[in-house]
Amino acid sequence: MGQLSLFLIQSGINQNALYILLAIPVIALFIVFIRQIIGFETFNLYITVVSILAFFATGLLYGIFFVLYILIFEIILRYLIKNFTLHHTAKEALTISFISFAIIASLYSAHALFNYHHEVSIYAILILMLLGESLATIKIKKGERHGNYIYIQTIIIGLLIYIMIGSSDFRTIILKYPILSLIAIIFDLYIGRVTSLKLTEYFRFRKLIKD
Amino acid sequence: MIGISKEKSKGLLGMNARNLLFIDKKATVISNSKIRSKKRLKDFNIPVSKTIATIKDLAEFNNFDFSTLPLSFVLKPNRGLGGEGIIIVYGKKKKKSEEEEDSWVMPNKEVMTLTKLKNHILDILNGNFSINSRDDIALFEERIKVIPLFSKFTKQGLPDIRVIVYRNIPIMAECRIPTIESKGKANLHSGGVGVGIDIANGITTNAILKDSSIEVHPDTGERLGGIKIPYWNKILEMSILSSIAINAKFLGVDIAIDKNNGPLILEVNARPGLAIQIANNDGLKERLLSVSKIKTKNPQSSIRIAKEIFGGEIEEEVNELTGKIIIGKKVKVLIGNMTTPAEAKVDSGAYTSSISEDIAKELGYDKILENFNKIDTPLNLNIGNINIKEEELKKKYTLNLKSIRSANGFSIRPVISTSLEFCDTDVIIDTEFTIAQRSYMRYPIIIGRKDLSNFLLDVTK
Repeated sequence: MGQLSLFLIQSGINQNALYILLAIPVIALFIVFIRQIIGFETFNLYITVVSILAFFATGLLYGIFFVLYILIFEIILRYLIKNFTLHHTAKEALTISFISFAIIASLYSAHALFNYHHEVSIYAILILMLLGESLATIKIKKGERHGNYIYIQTIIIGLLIYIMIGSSDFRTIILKYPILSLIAIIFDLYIGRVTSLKLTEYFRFRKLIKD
Repeated sequence: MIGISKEKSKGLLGMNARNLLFIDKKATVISNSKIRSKKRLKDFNIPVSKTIATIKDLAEFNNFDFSTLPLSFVLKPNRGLGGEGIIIVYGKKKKKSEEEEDSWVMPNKEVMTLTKLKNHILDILNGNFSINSRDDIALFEERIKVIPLFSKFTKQGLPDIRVIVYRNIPIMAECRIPTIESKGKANLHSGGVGVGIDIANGITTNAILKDSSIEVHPDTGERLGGIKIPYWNKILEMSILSSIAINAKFLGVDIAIDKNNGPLILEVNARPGLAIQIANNDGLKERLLSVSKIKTKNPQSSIRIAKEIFGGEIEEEVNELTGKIIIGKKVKVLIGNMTTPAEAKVDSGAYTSSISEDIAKELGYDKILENFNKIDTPLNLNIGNINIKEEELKKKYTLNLKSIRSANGFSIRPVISTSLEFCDTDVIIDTEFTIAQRSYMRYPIIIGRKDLSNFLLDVTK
């Protein structure tokens, strides 16, 4: 473990918390890279990062199970209230209520199907709600299909980061070299000025750039 | 990467470059508000879609007399994004009884009741369609009537023309046509069709739907290419004036054509989408950079510059339609084992291509020339005897010969067979050249009709 990390832990900072906090700049850089260089779309950075934490609270498999439940329930709900004339706030209330039901239903199925007895923390529930709400909002702004698309990409990138954070090697490196968090910021500044095509744009414009 | 031209990809505008290098922040602030940008445009006497009424807050909403609304109108959020939250009604529905509430018919034949309309306005005021989710203003506009040229393409919605203007010069244009899938919206990402437009003449080129090429409109089957957009110069002028009025460096201007009033500005957009590049089969960045140092005096000179620099897509279109490539009077060619391209004259008056003796020697046909010079070429050739003489000589000497009729009369020339590559194009053919004995030929290489079947000749080039 690096001197700085050691000093901070000895000063009373929880090791897990320190690890997550030091890892966040690196994860944020990873998301910036995915969005600006690769070109995948995700929800905003904050939601993408916290969605990963939900996976830690529930476990990977159930995490995926829950987020898919939310997606399906959200699509069903949209279909049901499509022809209703309602104020947007009321629609939001319905969405949130439906997500609650979705979580109950998913917990029940997790119990029934996989004998899942994990205690789901209140934080995980909050984060799942946040995901559901963001999904509903993005659909108003970007349309149904695009919204689903962004949701799924956020989840996939969340999964990648989950694997990253869960790896003990990554943990060792981050705690041993806290300087990496600073280096990440330098790279943010660099990627923040990139003006080249994103990888997905190379694909999108492939007909125009064929040799 | 395999199959990707670095040069060509440099000319494309991606999201990163658009956001960092070209988006004009001041223009974004104005263009985000339809009311503000319309006011600016009006101050410059640019025709805009007419505002019927606005509802700014709940107090105005409660006092609003909905019976004053006309039979057809468009309801928009002031700070909407990507065409979301827009409602179009075509006419009032007849009431079956006195108690029944007012209702209107929407383009897809659905009914918009007054209650639904009011709820939608509350949604708008609440900021649900607003760019930054803050409280917004509801805007009633006069419905623009689609011109017959466009109404044959689409069953619902209003086609519009998007012109991208940079430094007050129109850079690229496309026509956006709604589909059933786009629910009447012209926005490409909602499923609208985008058709590239040749800036020089306002004629549509290739069409795309969701980034892929199409030939016909998905709903009506109408061909999308080769349509002349009416009022083209006026549209270019209006887009330039809009960019001046908004004081924007980089701006997308959306223009609709009304049946009665001609072209009107629908809205301006500081963050225009990038799919226009696919519709025009060309990169925006290259075009943006090519005018980055040009200063224009007035809209007329901007139009001239734009037409001069960016016109000419139609040539590629002709190529696509006829499978033929347009060439000028002079072309660069590679003959046989030549290593550097030579200039050749295209001569549709000649049938066979010819090269001068010097070129023939360069290509290594010295021997053939030598042998040919040993022959007693008959004099007094005329139309009656030339073919007979040709056969006689062919029998006598084992040389490949050809009789030629040129402006100077009849002659018999040696012939070589070799390859002919038109540089600038992909065309390589195997053909014959006669060797002209005159070394004073003005053009040492002449390409005749026989080798031009892949091309159309543009005598102005």
